[in-house]
Amino acid sequence: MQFLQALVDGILLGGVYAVISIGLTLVFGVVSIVNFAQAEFLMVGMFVAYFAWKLLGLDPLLGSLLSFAVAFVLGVLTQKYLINRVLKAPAVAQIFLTVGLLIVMENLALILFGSEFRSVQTPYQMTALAIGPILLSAPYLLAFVVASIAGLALWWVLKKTWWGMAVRATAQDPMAARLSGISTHRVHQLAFGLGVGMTALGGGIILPYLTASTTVGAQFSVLMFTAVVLGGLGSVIGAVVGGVAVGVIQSLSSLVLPMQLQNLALFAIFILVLAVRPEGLLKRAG
Amino acid sequence: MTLNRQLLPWALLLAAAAGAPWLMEDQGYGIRVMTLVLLFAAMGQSWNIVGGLANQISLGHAAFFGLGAYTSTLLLMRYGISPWLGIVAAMAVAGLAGALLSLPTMRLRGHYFALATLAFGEVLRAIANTWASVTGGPVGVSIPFSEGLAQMQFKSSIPYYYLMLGAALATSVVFALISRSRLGYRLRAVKANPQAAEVIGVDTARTRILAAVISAALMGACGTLYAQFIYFFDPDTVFSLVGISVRVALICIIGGVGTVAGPLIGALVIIPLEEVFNDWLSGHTAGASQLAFGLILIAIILIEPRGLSALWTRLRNLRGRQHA
Amino acid sequence: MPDILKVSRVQRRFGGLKAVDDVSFNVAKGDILGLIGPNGAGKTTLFNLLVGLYRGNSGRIELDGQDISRLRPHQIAALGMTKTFQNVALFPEMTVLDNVLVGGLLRHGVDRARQLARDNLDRVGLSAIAGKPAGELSFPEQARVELARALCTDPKVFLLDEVMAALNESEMDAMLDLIRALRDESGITFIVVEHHMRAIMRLCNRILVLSFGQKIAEGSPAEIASDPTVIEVYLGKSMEQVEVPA
Repeated sequence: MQFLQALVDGILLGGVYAVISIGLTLVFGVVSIVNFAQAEFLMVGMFVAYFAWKLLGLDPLLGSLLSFAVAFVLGVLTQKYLINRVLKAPAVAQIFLTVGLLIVMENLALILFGSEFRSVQTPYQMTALAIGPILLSAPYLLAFVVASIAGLALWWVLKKTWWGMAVRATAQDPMAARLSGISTHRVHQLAFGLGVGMTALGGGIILPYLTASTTVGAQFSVLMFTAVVLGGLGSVIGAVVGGVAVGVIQSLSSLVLPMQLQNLALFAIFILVLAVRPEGLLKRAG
Repeated sequence: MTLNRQLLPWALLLAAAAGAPWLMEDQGYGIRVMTLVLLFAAMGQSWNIVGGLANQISLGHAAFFGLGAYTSTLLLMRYGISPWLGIVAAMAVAGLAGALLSLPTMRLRGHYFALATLAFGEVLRAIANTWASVTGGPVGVSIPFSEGLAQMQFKSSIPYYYLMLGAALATSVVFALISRSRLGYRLRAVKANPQAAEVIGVDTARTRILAAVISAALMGACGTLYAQFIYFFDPDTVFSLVGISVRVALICIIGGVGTVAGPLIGALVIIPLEEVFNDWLSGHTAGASQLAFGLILIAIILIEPRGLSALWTRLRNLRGRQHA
Repeated sequence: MPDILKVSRVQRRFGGLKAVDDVSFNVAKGDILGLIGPNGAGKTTLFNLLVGLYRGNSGRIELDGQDISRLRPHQIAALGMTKTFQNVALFPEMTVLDNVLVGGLLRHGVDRARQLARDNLDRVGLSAIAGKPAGELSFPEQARVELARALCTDPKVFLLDEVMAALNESEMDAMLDLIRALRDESGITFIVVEHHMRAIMRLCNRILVLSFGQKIAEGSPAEIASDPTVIEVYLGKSMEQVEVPA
């Protein structure tokens, strides 16, 4: 029974992790860099949604759309003026550029917003839906629903729109895509914008059950990378599967392991997959 | 003959460094900064072994630093074990962690390796924060002050200075020796072409693990020294991604990765610069100096994306070659 | 002479493709075995199997009586078998001398290895460029450096993968002399992959022919030259134009 509850919780959380992780994998698949600052965009999303709630009275679930928009713009600019300059540079430069970005974003936020923790109050925060003996906590459930919608929207964009197909083409074969007339620059910007936008949206929807702070990025960093590695760096479906897997693993391990070992369990899985099958447990879906 | 000529500038430098503290005010700001420079130079040399010789960018060296700090400190506080023995234990624990991390990450390169090591550091940080019963949790640990050489604690700044000078010297010597040794050649070969290296008899796995263990152990020792210097630390400080891992990597890269002088130069440039920023900015707000640090990092990369050592070469070429 | 290398029924698949298909042969100590076949026949794959870069899906490889089928390349090198790479695999940022030195580290310390490196560089005639970064050399020069480097591992069986590509006539003659000298003076057994038919015919005492991963012929140069299957698959008319030593 506890198991089932934990499983359900894990899936609900996992759906959110999935949305957060999709961004990271999209960036890697298209632009071919690991964005070490990805989790900071989650923080940005959280704060945008928070202030939308505080100043406009907007429910975070709606505010997350604003988060997406803000992060999207930031992402496009970041790609255009920063990332683009190091695409041909050695890995060292790329790694430290996004690490530098991480430092800048986290500390800028610290200066602007201070170090207090902030939470929102929503009418449904404390409620839960009971299905049989299982309790579905409302914030978890609603976050999951919004995450799913966002995920489906992204899927639709990637599959059915011209730009979406351009993104996928560039991910699969950049040379061929360029020769077909697709502007690699624009695709990179789009992918980066979408990528950090999704992660930011994730930040918004978890606001009802998590406090916003400038250090929240660090909490999610390892989670995100684990999800993405599990599913295969670059695979969007993989990120979804990986995200849910991470949620479930985290939830189930909390049943049997003390807190300190839960992190270790997750890390062990992360490292194992990286070592044994760096391309992920799933074949690349492209 | 050539060896003596090569060593001469180092000997002079060492003499200058040894004499320096007597010119500065005890307990003063200057000597404190220099002490930190030396410690970070030592940390840089440790990182240099993996980052410079093996060319694997580790963003997780804080893991070994923190393990070292906590190992020796816990041994001291729980069992009264002298830090001089504790440092050995710290090296053992950190070295073991290095070996364990090295096994699954061995074939990873570039971003993947950085990612894996970053995750390792972060996970240890999280564990240290939650395992309050062992580490004291986020509150951190405080070493009660008890002066004496045996306790590795001093009232005056000068013994600390020499302690760190010793560390910088020791790690530099280790690096230089490794560089010239079989291990050094093998590491460079493995870095260049692991398959070719294997075929001519280099055990690539053992080579990488050995480098990882040495690098981690040295870093762990630095953790102990840090703990003894600072009396108080918490997981977020010693396992810090930005404050330790990134900083140490940058010190090495800016100074010239893979060279003995690199970390020394890097530390000499970065640490005082940071202190200046800290003074100047953090008076106003927390995080301002870090922000400046991040901005400068981004700026440097944009100016010379080919790598900071390429920037260094560019600058050197501008001023004219001084060494053959 | 006793067999120093025994290969039996070795197979290596990549997906559905059998790159090396049920190949068996023995090599006697002191042989210079030529390995020929069209491009894609599996020659380099076979070499990779012998030195342990690939693991065979089935089959057995014995070096000097010891089963090396499951060993890693550095272990096989320690036991006395090494190879050069078709596209040359030097360490480009290290000097020529340092490159060759690494080979010597298998059995010696740094100083001894350095001396050995100098000696072997001398043997291949490249002492003059010992201090140059290996990446700046021409392709034939790189091939010779790689040979010197592998020599430093003191091999019993030396696999040469197209070391004579891009060599002119006199350079090729020098290489042939070198290989023969190494066999005569140091007792090294060679397996040589080459596309220069003349070189193979003059150098080798035995030849093995691969096609589509399978061994289609094995014998002396004279036997191979007159083998109709070989001529049909690989050599065509050019075989008649090649002189075969008596």
